[in-house]
This record gives sequence, structure tokens and C-alpha cells, in this order.
Amino acid sequence: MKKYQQLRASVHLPFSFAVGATASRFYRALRDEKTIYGTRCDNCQRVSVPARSFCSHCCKTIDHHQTGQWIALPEYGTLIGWCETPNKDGFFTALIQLEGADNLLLHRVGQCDAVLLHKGLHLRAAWKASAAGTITDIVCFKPERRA
Amino acid sequence: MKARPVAIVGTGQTRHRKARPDVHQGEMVQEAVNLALLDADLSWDDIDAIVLTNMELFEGRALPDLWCSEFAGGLGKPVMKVATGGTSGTSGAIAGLLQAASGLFDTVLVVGWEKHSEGSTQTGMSLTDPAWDRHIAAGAIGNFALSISQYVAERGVTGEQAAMVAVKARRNGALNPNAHVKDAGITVEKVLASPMLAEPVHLLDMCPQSDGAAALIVVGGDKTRRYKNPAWFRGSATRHDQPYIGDHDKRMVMMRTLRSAAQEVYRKVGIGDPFKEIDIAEIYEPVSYAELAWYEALGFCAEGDAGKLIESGATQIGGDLPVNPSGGVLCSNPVGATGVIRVAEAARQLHLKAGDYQVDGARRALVSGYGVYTWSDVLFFSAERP
Amino acid sequence: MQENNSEYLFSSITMDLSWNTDVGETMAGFFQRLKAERRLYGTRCSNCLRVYLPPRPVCGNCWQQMNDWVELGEQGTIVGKTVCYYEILDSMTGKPRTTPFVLGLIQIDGADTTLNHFVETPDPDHVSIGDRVETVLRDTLQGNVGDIVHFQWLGPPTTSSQGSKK
Ligand SMILES: [Zn+2]
Ligand SMILES: [Zn+2]
Repeated sequence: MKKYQQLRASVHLPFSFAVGATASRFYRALRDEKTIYGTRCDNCQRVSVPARSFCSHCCKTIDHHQTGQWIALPEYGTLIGWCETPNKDGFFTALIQLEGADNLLLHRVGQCDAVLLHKGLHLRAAWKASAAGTITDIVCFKPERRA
Repeated sequence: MKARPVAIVGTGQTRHRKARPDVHQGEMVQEAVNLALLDADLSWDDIDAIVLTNMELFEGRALPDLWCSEFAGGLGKPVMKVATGGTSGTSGAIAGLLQAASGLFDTVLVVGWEKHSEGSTQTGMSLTDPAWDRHIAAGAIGNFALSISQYVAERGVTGEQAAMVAVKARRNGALNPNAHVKDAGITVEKVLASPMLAEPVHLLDMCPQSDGAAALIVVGGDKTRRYKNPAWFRGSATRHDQPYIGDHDKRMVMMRTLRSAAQEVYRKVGIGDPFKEIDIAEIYEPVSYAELAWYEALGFCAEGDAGKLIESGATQIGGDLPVNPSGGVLCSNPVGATGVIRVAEAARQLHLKAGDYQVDGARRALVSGYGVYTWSDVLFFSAERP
Repeated sequence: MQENNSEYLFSSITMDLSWNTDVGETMAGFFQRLKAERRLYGTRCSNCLRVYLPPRPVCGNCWQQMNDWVELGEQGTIVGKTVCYYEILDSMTGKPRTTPFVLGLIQIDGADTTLNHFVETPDPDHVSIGDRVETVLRDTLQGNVGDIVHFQWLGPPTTSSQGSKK
């Protein structure tokens, strides 16, 4: 078979993304208060998590400084869907319905036996000891017996 | 199918700045869109289609259309992205104008943005052909300087004449609240005393890298009736060229893409003497010397007379043909938005909404876009309905 | 998240990305000839007679397939030049290039296109448009564009170093 010439090119590209005012408050609260915040659209009343500055259903700005628009959510919810193949640190990528939120949170579920996973499973956030203000300050969501 | 008359009836821009850490990309897009909707007195429901323009490589986030469509109000609507380097914004505007002109959509939103503060622009721009010129990539400034050296040798323009372009831009920018770089007190001496980057280009000869977004509202059919001073779209032309920088014989001197695009538009619109018949131009000048070269390519003066034209003051606000009264690219350059800004500024002049840099009697406006080494867009607008 | 001394947070990452690029038959032919003969070759359009470096299979101006290979000279003429004072990383060594360095648009004898590359010279201020340069290839050729190291400045044209007219 004929051999064709191929070049391998590598690049290193540094980026620094601004997360914006609303998300800055969300990540700081995660780090400093160990609390997950969402935002409520004052038009359609939908609660989004993570907190965001815009309701795309109404095309309307959400002002996190307004009372009623910045919502502390409980750190528990239910398992809606998950990837059955664990990722390399043993967690399962999952969609979680936090209680009080109208959208699903993409995170991971773990610290449990895989056979336990089922739709509707009650989960609670397991927090990292030293928080850094990133979404992985929550190590994972862990199954919990419903109180 | 014959195209129907369409006009730009609203524009919106962010305050273009070195960095906008208070907003992420989508939030910045929304800012410009809200301002444009406000300007056109329309709401989100009125928009039928959306064109986005952004160079995602600069931010390193794949599919900006995915992340930013909803902030432009695009959920459940036809959205497309146009990305052609520096011409992205003018190409996106042409796409939006033609969508409305086709009669398929009455109201089209065009929004462009870039957040240069988030990435490594020079590295991004050096991602050229890995088999050939990536090894010898020396950044945009070195490449500009090479072409400028040919232009200077051919036409004999001086550093002082180029510096006069930079002075005009920054003084105009001082009148524009959205401009990123502004300096009412700038002088030719100050430009020439700024650090030499690559001979003969000084720091103050170059455009900045900005964070910013800009939006346009295009309407056609009955929707144009309620507006007092629409900026009517009269014609456009687009040109691309060969890929390697060395393919273009005397690139900046000849600029065959811009020359031919301008001639096509002049023919379509019926312009015989561009200098006399155009009231205001918003052109894409990434470096002071380029504005001089574009004067010639656009036919604003005879070949070799660009230096005399800037010296005459004719291209200042109050002159016969003000060029970039907004301050131009030398004042604000969020690449994906820059072409949209050119169109928005031309439209604002015809809307009679340009504030402190309003050109008296502005009725016919020319716009040019510049991408990569040689790509060109030219658009023409008038206060008169076609 | 990074605090960055502001009210707002940033997420900073460096992406290391790699691609495999198929150079295609024409470019591979150029590199093979370069490695075997230590010569640069271009392709010529049979319609407009323009000689292209880098070579390519199609003349975009004529939309014409090109099959003619043309041997190019070892010297060339500077048709554009600049002295750069800003710092860049040398893609061959990964280290910053010492400033100032000279960039030239070089028209290699026999080619119609030009090539932007580094010009090595003892005195950057004396390099002018019209000066002659010589191609410097690396000792052990590898068959890629890195084989062209730079162009050595020779000085103003003399009758002996004048480019061959086509
Ligand atoms: Zn809502
Ligand atoms: Zn040809």
C-alpha cells in the first residue's frame, strides 16, 4: 500500500474564561457557604441550577441581586439518568434533579455499589474538605436513605 | 427571484474594553442584542432569524452558536454562524441582509462578538498550514510590516502620514463612548515615540484587542414603514484570495480583493466618483498604514495620493469624506464583532444617531471588511430607499 | 476558579491539542525532492505560467490543474522586509528569538510567489528591499519545511548574483 506523508502538529493554547457576575457568586457560595444556589426567573418562575443571568424561555435577564431571584437549593435530590460505564476515578456521570430546581444538574454519582443505582434514587452532595470554588467542590452525589 | 429592499433599523453595542470580566460570552452577546432591540423598538418575539459571527479559536470554546444562541434569543428560531476571520462581521451582516432581502424572513438579527481577553490571539492566528508556514509564523504584526514595507517603497508614504491616521482615529474614538482606545490629546509625535514593534509599525499604529459585542436589526417589507431614517441596503460584494501570504504580489499595494469588491459595488449602486459621492465611510483598518492603502484601493484618491489625502484633513469629521468617525478598528477590535461594528456605525450615521461624531448630511455610507491577509467585503447603504 | 484580584472569577486552562495533517501528494513530492536533491521546487501553471512556492496541485487564479515541476534557484531577492522588536518563540527551538530579528518577503529565483522567512544578517539596519539572500538548509534534511532554516543576507545585487530572468 502506498504511504502518504502525514505531519503531527501540537499546540499549547492558554485560556482564561470569565464566568461573569452571576456565576462568580455561585462558585464563591459553593466554596464559602457549601451551598448550591439557583436563580428564579420572575416571569416564568423556573428555577435554574447552577445560578444563571438569563432565562432563555422568556428571553429575560435574571438579576441575582433581586430578592426572590437568588435561591438557595437543598443539597439533595433524585437520580434521573446516569452513564453505566464508570469514569476513571470510579464515578458515574449523572443527571440529578435537585429538589426545588426545574432543570437537571449534570454531575456525578458514586461512593456506592453500582447495582444500587436506579431512577429516583435519593442522593445527597458529598463535599470536598478543602473547597476551591469549582463544581468539583462537590465530590459527587451519594445515595442516602430518605429521612 | 428578485431581492426586495431591506434596511438596518436598529443597532446595539457594548462598551468595548480590554476585558469584560463581569460577563461571560453569552451575557455580553445579550447586552448588545438588548440594546439593538431597544434601538429598533422591537422585542424578542419580532425576530425571525439570527446570524451569529464569532471566531471561536480566539476563545477556545467549540461551537459558540451552542453557548450563545439562547442569549441572542435564538431558541426555537433559525440560527446560523458565519466565521471568516476579520470579515466575519461584515459577512454575517451581508448574510442577514440577504436573508431579509430574500423575503423569507421579515426581521433578522445579526450579532457578533469576541472576548480576546480570554485567549491567546497571536497563537490562535499562527495556526496556519502545519506543512508550510506554521514554522515561520511571526504573528500578525510582522506580516503586516512586511506588506507595509512594500507599500512604503512603492508609494513613498511616511511614518508621519501613517501616524496622522492613528491620531485621527483616537481623537474620533474620544467622542465615542463605546470605543476601547481613546485619546483626545494624541499627537503625531506621541505615535512616533511609541515603542517600535516591527519597522515601520509603532505600538500606536496598531489596533487593540478588545472584548465586545455588536448587533444589528435588519427588516424588510412592511416592517420598514414605521422607521423614520432607515439605513437602506444598496449592495455588497465579497472577495477571497489565495491562501499563503506570499501568494499576493504586493499585497497591500494591490489589494485586488478590496479593489474588485469596491468596483462591483460602485457599479451596482452607480457611483462614478467615490470621494465626491460617498458621505461617510467605516472601513476595516487593522493598522494605520492600511487605511492609507485602502484609500487607494477604494478609489478615494489616485494611486500614490493617500498621504496627501490624510494630510488634507478631508477624512476627518467635518471633511469632505469622513473615514471612521467612530474611531474605527484602531480604537476597538473585538474581531468577530468588528465588521458588525463597521456596519452599525455606518447605519447610525444614516439614522442620525451618531451623537458627538455625527457627520452632517450623511446620506450615503460605505463599509469595508478585511479578513486574514486579503479577504474583503464591501457594503453600501443610503438614506434613500432603493 | 481563579480570583485574579477582581470581583469576578475566571477559569484558566491550557489546552494541549494535536492534529495529524495529511500533506497531500504535491507537498510530499516537494519534500521528497528537497531531501533527495537539496533543491526547492515549485509547480507551474500551464495557463498563466505562474510558478508557485509552496507548490500546490491547482492554480487558483486559473482554476487549472498543475503538473509541471520547476527547479528553483538557491538564491533569492528581498521584496519586503521588517526588523521586529517584539518577542516570539522560535518554533524550531521553543526558545524566544533574540530581538531584533529580520523578517523578509523573499522571492526565490524562478518563483513568482514570495516566502516570508527569517533573514540572518550581521546588521539588521542595512537590509534593503532588492538585496540578495541565500537559502540555508539544515545539514541533515528531514523532508519537512523545517529543513529551510533561514535566508542568509548577501547584500545588494551584483551582476554575478542577479536572479535568472525567466
Ligand atoms: Zn423565564
Ligand atoms: Zn494559472
